[in-house]
Parts: sequence; C-alpha cells; structure tokens
Amino acid sequence: MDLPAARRVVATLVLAMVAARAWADVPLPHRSASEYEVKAGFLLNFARFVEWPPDTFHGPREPFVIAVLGRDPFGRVLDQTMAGKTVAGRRIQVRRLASVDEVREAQIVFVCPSERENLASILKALDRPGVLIVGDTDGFADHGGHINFIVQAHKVRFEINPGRAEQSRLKLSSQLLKLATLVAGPRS
Amino acid sequence: MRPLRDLSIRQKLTRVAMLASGLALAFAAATFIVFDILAFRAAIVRRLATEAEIVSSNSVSALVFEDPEAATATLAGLDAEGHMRVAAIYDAQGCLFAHYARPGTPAPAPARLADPQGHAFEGRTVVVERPVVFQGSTVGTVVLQGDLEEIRSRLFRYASLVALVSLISFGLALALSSRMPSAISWPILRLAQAARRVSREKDYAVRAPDGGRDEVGELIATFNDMLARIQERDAELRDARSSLERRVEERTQDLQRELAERRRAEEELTKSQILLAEAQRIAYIGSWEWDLARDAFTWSDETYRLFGRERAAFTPTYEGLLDAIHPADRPRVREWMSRAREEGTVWSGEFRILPADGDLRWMYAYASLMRDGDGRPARMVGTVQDITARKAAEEERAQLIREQAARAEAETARRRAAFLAEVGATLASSLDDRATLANVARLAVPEVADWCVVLIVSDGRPEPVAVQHADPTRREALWELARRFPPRRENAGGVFDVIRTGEARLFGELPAFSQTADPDHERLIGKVGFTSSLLVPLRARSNTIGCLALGAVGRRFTENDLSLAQSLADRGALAADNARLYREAQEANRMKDEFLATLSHELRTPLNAIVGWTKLLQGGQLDEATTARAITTIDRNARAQTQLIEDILDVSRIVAGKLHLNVRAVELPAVVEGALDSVRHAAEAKGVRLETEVARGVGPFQGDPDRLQQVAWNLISNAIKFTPRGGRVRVRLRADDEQAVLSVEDNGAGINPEFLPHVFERFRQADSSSTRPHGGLGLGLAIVRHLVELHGGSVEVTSEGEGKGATFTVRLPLRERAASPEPPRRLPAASAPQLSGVEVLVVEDEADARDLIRTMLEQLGAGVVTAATAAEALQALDHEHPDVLLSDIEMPGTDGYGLMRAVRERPADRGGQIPAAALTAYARAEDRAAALKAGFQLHVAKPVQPAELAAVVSSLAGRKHGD
Repeated sequence: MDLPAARRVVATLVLAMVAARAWADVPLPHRSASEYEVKAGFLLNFARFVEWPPDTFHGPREPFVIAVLGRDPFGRVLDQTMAGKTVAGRRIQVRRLASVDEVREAQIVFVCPSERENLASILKALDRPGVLIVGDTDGFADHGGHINFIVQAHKVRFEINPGRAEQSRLKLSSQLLKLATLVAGPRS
Repeated sequence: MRPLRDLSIRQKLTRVAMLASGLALAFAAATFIVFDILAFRAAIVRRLATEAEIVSSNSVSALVFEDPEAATATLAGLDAEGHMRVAAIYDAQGCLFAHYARPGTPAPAPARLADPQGHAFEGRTVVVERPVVFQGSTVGTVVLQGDLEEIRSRLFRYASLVALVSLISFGLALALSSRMPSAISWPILRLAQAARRVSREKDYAVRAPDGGRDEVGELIATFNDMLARIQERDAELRDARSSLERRVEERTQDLQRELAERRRAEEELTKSQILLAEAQRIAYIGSWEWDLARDAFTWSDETYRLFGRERAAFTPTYEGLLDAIHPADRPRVREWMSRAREEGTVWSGEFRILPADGDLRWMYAYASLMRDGDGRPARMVGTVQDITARKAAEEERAQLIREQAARAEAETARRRAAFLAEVGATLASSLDDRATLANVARLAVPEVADWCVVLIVSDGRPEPVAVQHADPTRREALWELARRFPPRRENAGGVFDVIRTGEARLFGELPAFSQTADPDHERLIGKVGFTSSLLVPLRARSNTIGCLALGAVGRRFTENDLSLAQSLADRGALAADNARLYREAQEANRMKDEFLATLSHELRTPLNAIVGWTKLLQGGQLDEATTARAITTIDRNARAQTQLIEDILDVSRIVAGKLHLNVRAVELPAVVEGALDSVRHAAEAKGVRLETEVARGVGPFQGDPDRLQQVAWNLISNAIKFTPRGGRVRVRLRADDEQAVLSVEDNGAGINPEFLPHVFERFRQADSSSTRPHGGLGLGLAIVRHLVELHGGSVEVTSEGEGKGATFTVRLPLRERAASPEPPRRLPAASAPQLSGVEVLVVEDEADARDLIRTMLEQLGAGVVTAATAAEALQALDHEHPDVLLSDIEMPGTDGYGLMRAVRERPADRGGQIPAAALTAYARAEDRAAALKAGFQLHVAKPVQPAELAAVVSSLAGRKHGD
C-alpha cells in the first residue's frame, strides 16, 4: 500500500466516524441524516448561486445570515457544514428562530417542515426584497417560496419559483435554474 | 541542348525567367501547406479546448449539486460538433461522472491526462482536458477527444490546388518573357527619331517620348532638357525686341495727353478768374497781394472799388494804404502788418477807412504771410471786406439791448424801492421785537423768497422765532422742520457760520437732499420744498443777532435776491434790535422805579422808628426800662440804615468800576467766624438754628478780609432772613482741590426756578410787591457776586424750588491768588511818593492820554518812555530797561493783553519779568481777571488820579526791588 492511498483510507475512516457521531446526535431520525447533510450543502450552494440586491448589507463586517425557522431538522449538520465557510467574503451565521416575527436581518430563511400549517402567513411575512426563502415541504414553491427541496429517485432535488425570486430582487444563476424543476404561482 | 552562352539574349532571358518562377512557386506551395496544416491542427486543439471550457462551466452546478443527468445532458450538446468522438466528466475524486460517445462510433471514455490544462495527440485523434472550477476549487474535470480526419481531406485539396496554379503560372511566365526584350529596345529607337526631326525642322519644341527611369530614360531626359534650354533662349530674344517697340508707343501717347490737359487747365483758370472777380464784386470782398521783395501791391478790381480809387489813377503802396485808413485805426493796422510780417502770423481785424469818394466805411481785413522756398517771408496775401452794414446793425442791436437792460433795471429798482418802503413802514409799526421779526418773515414771502425762517440767537443757539411760507398749507411743515431739525454747528457754511462771520451765503442750486438718514427730516424737506436757499445774517449795531433762512421752490436765487434779502434783513434786524432796546429800556426804567420805591420805603422804615422814639425821649416822660428799649431800638435802626447806605454806596462804586480791594493775606476761617459772630444774635432772636462746620487751616488766601467778611455776612444773614422760625442754616468752609469753598445752606423759603438766573442781578428781588414779607433792597447778593469775582472766584446758587431751601456756594481759588502779588491799597492821601530814579514805559495809543500820564509821572520825578503801539513797546524793551510797564488795553492792532502775553514770553533780560499794570476803561470784574491772566500784576480803572498812579508805580517798582 503506497502512502497517498493509505492517507485516503485514513481520511475516509475519520469522516465515517464523524458522520456516525453526527448521526447519533440527530434527534429526529425520521429522515435519513445523510439527506440533511446534502440539504445543508445545497443551502450553502444556493448562497453561492444566488445574487442578493446590492443594498442587502450595511457594512463589510456584517455576516451572511441563514435563519432556520421552526423545528430544526439539521441538528449540528448545518453548523458543521457552514463552519469556516464564507459567502462573498462574509462569515456565515446560522440562527434558529421559533417565529417568523423574529426574522430580522437574514439572507436565507429555511422554513422547516414543522411550519407546514403556517406557510401562508410565513410567506406573507417574508415577502420582502433580499430574503431567499427555502422550504422543505411539498408545494412550498407553488405557494410562493423561492426554492423547495424535493426528493426524486432517492436524490435530493429542488424546485424553483423564478417569478417570485425576481419579485424579491434575487438573481438566480442560470446554472441553478438549469438543475431545478421550475414552478410558478401563486399569481399575486 | 545548346549551351546557355550560345543562345540569343531573348532565349537567355526566357530560360532564366522560367527557372526562377518554377523554383519560387514550388517553395511557396510547400511552405504554405506545412504551415497551414500545423495551424489547422492548433485550431482544432483550440476549438476542442474552448468546447471543453464551455462544457466545464456548464457542468459546475451539475457537479456541485451531484446531478449526473444534468451533466450528461450538457455533454449531449456536443452532438452538433461533427469532429467530436468521445467526451467524459470526472468528479473531484476522479470518478467518471458523465460520458458521451458519438453515435455509431462507440468508444470508451477517454482517460485523463497528466496535465489538467493540456492536450495530447493520440493516433488520428487529439485529447483535451480542462478542470471544472467553482469558487476557486476544482470540483471536476472535463476530457474531450476529437478526430483529425479533417486534416487529411484538407491536405488533398491543397495538392490539387498547387498543381493547377503551377500550370497557369508557367504559361504566363512564358508569354511575359518573350515580350521583355522589345521593351528595352523601343525607347532608343524613338529617341533617334526625335533627334532627326529637330535637325530637319529647326523646331525646338519637339521632345523625345518619356523613357522611364532606367539608363535609356535618363538619356532621353537629358536630351529633352537640352532642347528646352535652347528654346528658352530663343523666346527671350524675341520678347526683348517686342517690349522696346511697345514702350516707344506708350511715351508718344502720354505726351499728347499731357498737352491736351494743359490746354484745358488754362481755359479753366481764365474762367475761374472771371468768376472770382465777379464773386468779389458781389460780396464786397477785395483781394490783395503784397510782394515784399519788390514792395509791390496788387489789388483786385473790387479792392480798388472798396477803397474808392481808380486803377488807372492810383498805384497802391503801403503808405497809400495807411493813408486811406482812419487815423485812429492806423497804428493798429500798422502793428498788425508788421507783426504778421515778422512773426508770420495770420491776422485779421476790423478798421475804418476814409474812401476818397464818400463816407467812412468799416472794413474787415485778413492777411496771411507766404514764404519762399528758403522759408523767408516772400509775399503777404489777404482780403478786405466791407462790413459797414453789419457794423451798423450790430450797433443798433447793442443799443436796443442797453435800452432794454436799463428799463428792466429801472423797473427792478422801482419795485425794490417800493418794497423797501413797505418794509420800512411795516417794521416801524411795531415796538415789539417778536412781532417785528414775524413782520420780517411776512415781508420776505413772497417778495424775496417762497418761504422764510427767522432764527434768533438765544443761549448761543439759533432758535426759530417766526416762519412764513407762500403756501399756507405748508407753513406747519416749515415750523416742524425748523423746530425739530435745528441748524447744526458742524455744517460748514451753515447758519452757525453765517452768524459767526456775519456774512450771507447763497446756495444757488441745492443738491438733492440725501444727506439725511431721518425719514421724517426727508419728508419735511420734501413738503417744504427748496431748490435754492439764502442765509442772511440779522445784523444790528455790529452784532449778529440771528439769521434769516430763505428758500425758493423751483427757481434759483441770484445776487440780486441776496442783496434785496440783505436789505430786508438789515432793516428787520435794526427794527428788532430797536424794539428789544426799547423793551429793555422800559424794563430798566420799571426796575429803577421799583428800586426807588423800595429804597424810600427801606430808608423810611428805620427812620420812622428813630424819629418816633426820639420824639418820645424828648418828651422825657418815659420810665427807665422804656428809655433803654428806645435807645436800643434807635441804635438798631440807625445801624440798619447805615448798612443800607453802605450797600447803596458799594453798588454805585461797582457801577463806576471804583470798588477796590485791600488785599493781604487772609485767614478765611477767621473771616467766616467773624461773620458768624455778628449774626449769631439775630439768628437766636429769630429762632433759627445755626450749624457751622469751619475747617481750620483753609488758605492762606490773598484778599480783602473786610470784603470777604461782607460776603460771608451777606450770605448768612440772607439765609437767616429767608428761613422761618425753627429752621436751620448750615455754614461750611472747606478746602477743595486748590479752592476754598464756602457754602451757606438753609431750609427756608427757597427760590422759584424762573428767578434763579436773576438772583445775583442788581435791584432784583423775587417779590418786589409792596406787601412782600422780607425787607431789603436786593443789593446784597449783587454785591456778593461782584466782590467774589473781584477775588477771582465764583458764586452760585441752587434750589429745589420755592419752600425747599437754597444753597449758596462761593469758590475762591487758593493757589492762583497766592501766586499773584498783593496790590497796594490805602492810598496815602497826603503827599505822593517821589518816583525819582524809577523808569516807566507807558504804552497808550491816544496821544492826549499818553501825554497826561507822562506829565503826571514826570512831575513825580519818574523817567518816562512812551510807546503808541504794542510793537513800539516791544522795541523799546529791546533797548531800554524800564522798572515798570503801564499799558492801555484797547489799542489798534495788538491790544494790551496781546502785548502782555508777548512780554511774558520774553527772557528776563529783555523785560520778561517787568512789573506791569493795565490802565483801562474796562472796569468789570471779568476784564480785571483777563488782565491778570494775561500777566499784568495790577488793573487800574481810568480815569486815574495822580496819587493813585504814584501809589501803583511805586508799589510795582518797590516790589521789583524787594524781590
């Protein structure tokens, strides 16, 4: 066994152990932990494929905020994914909020599946420029969310409502749109 | 095949050309094909690389979001590129992520290359690899394989093309090389042809055709150049000949034209001479010329006519000309002529002539000097014109103007006389000065001005007393203007200046009034209106009592207006002054009557007591006590009467200027105490409390102790007199900054503010009615003031008003008096002291007075030097060393004060310290003070008695020796 190969094996083992620990800590295992790892990665990627309006930030040191609204399905995965990462040179900060009223300065709001019943009021409250609303509920994008996670053939995919994103003055990369299932509505 | 050197030139050239073109073509074709194949291969690689980069950037999201279907879809797009064989995308770990192969040519996914940016040729294919980069990190790799079949087909196409091009170019080269030799020989043949033509036809304009720039061409150019030079020279010769002929022709024509011109000018001249003579005759203007070198005159016909001479009978000369001129004008004309001749000036002038044939005529002559080429006077030319008719007309007009002016003047004078007569009558109608001044204002408007303000000096300020305006509706505005905005002292040339200088001012045209910032002032000026103004002094008996301000609206005052206004002002001022004097005389008369009534009453009152009690005593029936009371009463009344008489005598001395002081060192506290002692009894008797506060050591003071005590006594007894029972009188003496201050304060009757200014006047009492509560003549305070002023001091009174008491304050200067010498009093009545050995300088402008004093002094044994003026006196002091100086005050030029000031400025050896006395008719206290201030030691009122003079001189001389 040569040296780089050995190193790769060690790295894989370490990763597997970390994943196992994270898995063990996830309190709600009704969906596989690896699915939320993927979604956390996607959230980070969304941040990188979306352009926010120029007046979103008030200072160069303001962090990029990802708000998790409702009962958090990520657990530590989200924080681990975001740790040390930056978006356009800004540190990423994850905030967890119980109510939509607590959302102040956030660039991405992840609406947890737990909020399924209040979607209409949440979407109404978040309908302002510069906030990317990401959901994890069937029909979320059709109801006015910008991006909604879906699972197709055991793979995490997403829907995008480009009309709504435009209304919120968010520029979504064509690369992103290419990968998404595009939906429309509701008519405002 | 023949060797090359045996071939003709033509063949040689053809072969060389064919060989060269064949070689060049083969080399060019080979180079081009190799280069193109290489470039094409590079282009295929570049194209493949571009495609790889496109695929790379399009697969970023597919790789990031781990979507191989999306990546496969991207690769499927490569179908359109016909040369693409196989393509693959690997993920970051190097695992195959997506794969594409051209349909029909199934091939395995190309392996990755060692260089992630490189390319490699494999058989008939080329492989290109590019990384997929997202935000700085490599997320995958794209590998494309394209085939190179296209290069082979391209190579075949080029080969066919080269074969075709070679064939065509060989054909062309052959054709061209066969024609080349004739291109060289043709120009030489044509040059030979041209040379032949020139020699045959002698035509230098012929040229050989241009032969290009080669050696043959150069030969042709040189030949042509030579021909051109020959042709040029030929042309020049022809030109020179023809221009010579043309110039001869031109000169001939000019000569003919000039002749014609001269003939025409001569005709014109003759014509204009005739016209000139005619014009002279019509205008009565003759012309003349005087040739100075030959002394010959030339006159025009008209000149002869004007002078009344016949051309045939008279030869004009300078003397003949002067003879014709009026004898009175001859010197003038002679002077003109000689000046014109010497100075070369143009002159013109008028003079009279006496023509042989008729009456005197006026001539106007004009002359101008002409010079010869060297600048010397050569001729004088000029004109004479008969202006007799014009002169007559001028004289007539001047006469008319004179007559009109005389008539206008007479009318003005008449109106003026009438006006002044009216002025006289009106002003004489009143003896009230205010009414008179109002009359002046009424008379001034509208005869002299449109409005008038009469200003009278009161307390040093001009106050408006009467106004008049031609427009009665503006009269109020004028009053308001005069009262609210009085004249200001700083206005140069204004009312103050007019009053001070006594000279009238005329403001012909006033500037628009913008000097004032006060809008009210502006409004009033606008309402009253004036465009021109006059300020005329009101002068009465060499005294300016006020000013007449006159204004005109819409016109300008003239000097005439000014003189009329001055006449009015003079009459008005005199009338007003007369009225004032009349009023004052009345007042003085009334006061004198009052005084006499008071005097007789005051004298009689004690006399009644004395006579009454004396009668009772003579009856001898009085008991002892009554007898004693009678004697006391008689004694008191006799004393009162004595005091009255003393006062009256003092006043008459003051009036005569004969009240003198017996000056010596005085202890002021003792003087005041003395006065207090003599009134203490009276105060106690009346129940008035006497408070005293006398500072010790005030002084010493130089003065007359008796008179000073009189002052204190008068003030204190006056205070007691006017203080009711139970009141108090406070007497204080203190030193205050080089002054001794005596104040007498009471809380008695007080003084009405209106009467305050008159307290110290003679014969004045606040209440002069017969029922007045206080006796006395009202002389005491007048005497007090006079005595205090004689001592160089001042007295003043303050009072809050009637019933509020009064304070009298006397101030006596301590230092000044101490420095001044003690004047001699108590004249030795018996024998005058001998003044032998004393030298006296007497300054007096009046001869009689001077002689009198000199005689008096000489009789006393003194030596006398006299001077009539201050200047003479100062001269005398330069040489003489008199012991005493006696000087008059009023003298023409420098007066006595001026003389004394000049003397005191001198050094001691030139009389600067000489003791001096002023001899003067000015006897008032202020005159005395002025004399002392100027430097005199003594002030002696005229007329002076011999004994007094002796005392004065001896005392002055003695002091000098004593010092």
